This record gives sequence, structure tokens and C-alpha cells, in this order.
Amino acid sequence: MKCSQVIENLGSYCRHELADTQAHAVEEHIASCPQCMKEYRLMARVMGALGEIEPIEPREDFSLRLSEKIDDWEARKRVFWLGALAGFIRSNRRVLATAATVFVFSLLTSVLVIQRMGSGEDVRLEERMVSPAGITGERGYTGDVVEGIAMEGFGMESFAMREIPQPASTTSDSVYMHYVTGDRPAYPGEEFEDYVYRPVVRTVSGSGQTF
Amino acid sequence: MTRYTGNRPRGRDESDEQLMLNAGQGDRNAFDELVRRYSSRMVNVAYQVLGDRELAEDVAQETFLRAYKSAARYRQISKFSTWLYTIALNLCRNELRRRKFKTYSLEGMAERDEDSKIRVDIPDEKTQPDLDMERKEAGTLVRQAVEKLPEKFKAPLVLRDIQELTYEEISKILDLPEGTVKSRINRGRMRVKEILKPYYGSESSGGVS
Repeated sequence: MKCSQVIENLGSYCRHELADTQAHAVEEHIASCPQCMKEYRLMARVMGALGEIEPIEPREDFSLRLSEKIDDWEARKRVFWLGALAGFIRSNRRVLATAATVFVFSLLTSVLVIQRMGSGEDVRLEERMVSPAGITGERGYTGDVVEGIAMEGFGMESFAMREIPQPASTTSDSVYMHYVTGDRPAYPGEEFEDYVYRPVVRTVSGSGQTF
Repeated sequence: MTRYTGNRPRGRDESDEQLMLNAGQGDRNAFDELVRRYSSRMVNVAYQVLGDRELAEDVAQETFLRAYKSAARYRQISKFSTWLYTIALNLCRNELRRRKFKTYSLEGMAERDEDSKIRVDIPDEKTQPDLDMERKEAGTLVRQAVEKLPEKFKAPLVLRDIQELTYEEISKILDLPEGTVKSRINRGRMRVKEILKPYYGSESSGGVS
């Protein structure tokens, strides 16, 4: 082993991190090389001193201060969502009124459609389901296509798309659970950590069976 | 030598990961338990990287706050401690970059010689016979030397030689291959040795400590 290799490995040698063969090679070398022996003694002192670094204790009120910060954040979060909701309603009154009208109209239409389905006609409705944060599974139907999952903060950009496969048996009812897996949530410290990740799963009608 | 072995949970014996999952479901006591287990380690790692006690407290607080904010979205995709260290070191890194980190403790003590080697002036207290004092002084001295390391050597060295983490854990925390981690730790140790050579060199010709 050359002097440069020995010197580079002295710290690992002192911490017993080297394999036996490497450790023996270091020992043999420093036994016959006064300069490396000197470096070894120095490194041994450094490694020993690293172990003597006194840990500091967190201040006594560490937990209390943290708890206050968490309380403060939760309070601000509540205010933010209430404010955002109020603001949204204020600035979108017309749109909301239109949406309400459409909703009522759709409801009435749905009633009619359900009545027709009862007569055996194959009619399907688009289903839009909003799942709570972190839940990525939604109910689907045979032949449905999952349009995707959007992340709040990114608009409606889809990032997962999967067709619901045929069930094993089509004799019973053809409704079953379908799971869509999404991306992982961001780590704190990452650029997008403040975004709220709320999967929105939308299934669109496929050529499913009558049921 | 190992002093960061983690406090044994007093009131609860769930794993860190389970506690974090519980915290995500609104169990504030579970999160408090995690704070109790890790506050010392987070304050110390930040202190050893930043060299400033107040700043270290702030970084440790922010680390836990960010972990709490993410609790509802926490998934057990890695060891909790690894995840927490990652947050803390990212915050330290941001802090170092934002503030163009100035050394505090060595300011006025260390200066560069004409040949660019760092010189550390040691107060002349070596004659004091108290062994504890000597150990403490050695610890302080080496900590100040560690503070002088470039960021890329400092974090791995702190995690390995002071926080006593494994190479595998360090590799995950820093998102670096293990080989790179080992190399940086070795180079960091060599630099610390060079920084301290003027002090130790004058008295280390004797036996191995």
C-alpha cells in the first residue's frame, strides 16, 4: 500500500471500518513508515476528539415554542380556507349561479335517464368524484376509462390514466373497486410542498355492459 | 462515544413511522413523542453544520414544523429518521447559501497564513491538569475545525463521526452513492487533520491517544 492510500484510509482505520486485509495492510505500512505513523497518531487524536464533541441540549421551551408555531399554522390554515372559499364565492357569483342552474337541470335529466335505464336502455352518465386527500381509489364500472387524477395547484393536468379492466365474471353486477395509484406527495423542503394534493378522479363512460 | 442513540420512548413504544402515521390522522401526542425523541438530534446536527446555536434551534423548529405540515400526506416510504434528517439538512443548506455562511466561533481565531493554510490560535490553557477540561477543549477545537470544512465534506462527516449514522443512512439522507459518501468523509477527516496539525503536531510525537 502506498503512503497516499494509507493516509486516505487512516480515519476509516481508526474507526475500524476497513476490511481485515486492508487493516493489516495499513498496520504493516505504518509500522515501517515513520511519516505515516506520525500521520496515524494525528488522525487517531482527531478521531478521538470528534467523539469528545459535547452535544448541546435544546432550550427548555423547545417543545412549547414548537407547539405554539403548530397552533398558529393550523389557525392560519383554517382562516385561509374560509377566506379562499368566501373570496371564490364573491368573485364567481355569476358562474356559480349558472352552475347551480346546470346542476338542477342535470339532476332533472338524471332522473329521466334513471327511469329509462330501468327500462333496459344502455345509457351511462359521466361520473365525477372528488376523493379526500390521499385516497386514490374510486369506484368504477366495467369498461370505464379513468380520465386521470389532477393535483390542486396544477390545474387539471392529468398524470395517471388507466382503463378499468374487465371483471373476472360478468354474470353478477359489474360494479367493482378500481384503484389508481398516483405520484408520491412532495417532501417538505421541496419546491411544491405548499400545494394541496387532492386527487380528483373522473371516470368517463365506456362501452360498458348494461346493468 | 455514541451519544445519539435515541431516547427510549417513555410513554409510547410505537415505532417512529407508526407515530408519524398517527400524527397524520390528528394525533398530536404522537407528534409530541417524535419531537421528544428527535429534538436533541436535530438541534445538534444543525448546530454542527451551522455553528450557531440560535440558528440551530430555529432550523430544528422549522424541521419539525415542516414534518408536521406534511404529516397528513406522510407515507412510509423511508425510515422516519432518515426523512427528518433530510429535511434538517436541506434547511441547513438553504441557510448556508442564503446567508453566505460566516464562521462564528473561529472568527478572529483562525486566519490564513501566507501559504493559505488555516491557522488556529489556541488559547494557552494546555498546562491545566484537568483532564475533563482537556477533553472539552479538544472537542471544542475539533468542532471549530469541522465548521471550517466546505459544505460537501461537512455534512457527511457530521452525520458519520458525530451523529454516528451508518453509511447507508447517510447515502439516503444526502442522496449520494455510498462510495461518494465514504470518499467525502475520508477527505473531510483529512482536512480536519490538516487544520489541527499546527496544534496537535507540536505535541503528538508521543504515544497514540
